Amino acid sequence: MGDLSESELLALFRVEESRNRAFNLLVRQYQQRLYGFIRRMVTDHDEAKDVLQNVFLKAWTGLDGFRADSQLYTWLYRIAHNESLNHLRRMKRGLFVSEASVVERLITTLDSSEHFSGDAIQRKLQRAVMRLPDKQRAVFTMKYFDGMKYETMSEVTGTSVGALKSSYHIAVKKIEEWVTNDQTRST
Amino acid sequence: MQQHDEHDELTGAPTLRSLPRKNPFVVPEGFFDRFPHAVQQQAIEAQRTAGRGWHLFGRVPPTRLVLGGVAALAVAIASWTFWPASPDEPGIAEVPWTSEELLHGGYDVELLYTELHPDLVEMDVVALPDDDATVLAYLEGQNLPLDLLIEQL
Repeated sequence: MGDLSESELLALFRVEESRNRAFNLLVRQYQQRLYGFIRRMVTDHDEAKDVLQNVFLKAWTGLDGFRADSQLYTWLYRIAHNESLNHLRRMKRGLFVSEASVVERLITTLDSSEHFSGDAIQRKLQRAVMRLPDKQRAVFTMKYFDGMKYETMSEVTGTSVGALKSSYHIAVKKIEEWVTNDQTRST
Repeated sequence: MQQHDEHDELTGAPTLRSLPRKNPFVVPEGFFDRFPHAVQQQAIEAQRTAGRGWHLFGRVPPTRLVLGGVAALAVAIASWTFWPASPDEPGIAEVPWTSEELLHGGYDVELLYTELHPDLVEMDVVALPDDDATVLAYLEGQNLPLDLLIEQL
């Protein structure tokens, strides 16, 4: 069975009898894309799973109030974006550590993760992405990896297109420098 | 167009531009098959838990109910605090007491003692010696309640 359109999913969800089935289809339809973004933000699979679960639980309770003034996918992505940032904030608060310590932890997780299949350059790239501040990492991930348009990113983050372009531009420069230097050091 | 813009933005970043954008993160096998069912179970369970205890109120959201309760409580407290006393029933603050009346109000002291300390009237009045050690020995022998001793001393 192919993917249903957003309006079809919403129509199914609003009928009590088909609500559960619609939710199941919605999760199946969007889980991989949202997981990809969250995983890049928090690195660890188990943490990504928890965040993704929260995203869909919030969607379950919020879908009744969802008005189609934005796309369903954008709305879900916005929840995923906020939940990922909240998760990282909670992590810092829970560990009573600085930003740098959290980055160290993320990189360590990445290095020790058995669920990372990338080659050396991919690992370097991912380590460089981890060094970006959380919000800039989100911007870079949305644009570079997910190929999202700035207008959609603006809806997701609640930030102006101009600010997003600027943030992405700076992120690209930083990562290019870090990846290149890292390559130079390792060769 | 989107692709073109992106390439323009990566002009100064040849390494980034040359890298393949594959997802290097591996997901445990079968995760995406199991996940929808797991999250749906959680959603249903959360809904059941949230609904428990509120079924009497139909679909009234708990937040609205809580706000209503808080408002009613605030009104009750405000009424109790600021409600003017009836002229026939003067409140405590409206009864003027002077220090003279407090000291020599013409009340029967014995009656007051009887009312306040019914057990006190049963006691014999004893003249206590001046010597502390003797007083303590006497008091210990009487087995009197400590708070009463303190009050008397």
